[in-house]
Amino acid sequence: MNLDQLLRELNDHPDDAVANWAADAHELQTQLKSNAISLAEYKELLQDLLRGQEILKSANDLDTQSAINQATHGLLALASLA
Amino acid sequence: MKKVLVLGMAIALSGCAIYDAITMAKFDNHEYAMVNDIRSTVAVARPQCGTSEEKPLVRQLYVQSLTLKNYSQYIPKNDPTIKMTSELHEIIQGLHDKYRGQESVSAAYCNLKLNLIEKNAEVMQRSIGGKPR
Repeated sequence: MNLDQLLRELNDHPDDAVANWAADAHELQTQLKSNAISLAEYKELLQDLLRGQEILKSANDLDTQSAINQATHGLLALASLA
Repeated sequence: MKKVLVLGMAIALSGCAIYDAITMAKFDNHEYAMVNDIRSTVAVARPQCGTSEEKPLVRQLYVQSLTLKNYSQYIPKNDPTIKMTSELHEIIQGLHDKYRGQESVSAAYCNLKLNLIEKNAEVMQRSIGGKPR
């Protein structure tokens, strides 16, 4: 399986984060092949995609923390009513 | 004995995660507004890609992301936000550096870069907006 096929398969991945990453990576490949961006720009943009994954991971951590925090305060409010 | 130790460690670890969640930094209007400013600047800048109008907007974007990064840095219990603002600033710094000493960059690079910045800023804004009040 070549890289293009692999990216196309990942493009249909059920996990939205994987599918979006694959679509962005495929777009970079396309732009590099058509010489719209230089190799240095391509490498920088690939690095940015990795940074985007770090942002997504931190956002998921923050969402989880927020949900736990709100649930805990909800439970405490319920307990104070009892 | 080994099972008890593993169970104890698991409880301690999940306890830490819950403690972190209970004591996390609360919603901050300024933090939220700063991410919104970045998204809005990107929306204004994108149609200018490949023109000389782009450079001052990229400079503005750079100052906005640096301000956000510095603002979030010393808010206690704010680790996920600090990580996100640092990564976003790194992405924007690449675009800003590209403009040093030149008036314009290729429209394709500019569009791809701003597209990534906007996507990431939106992820951050949604998450920061969901912080407990």
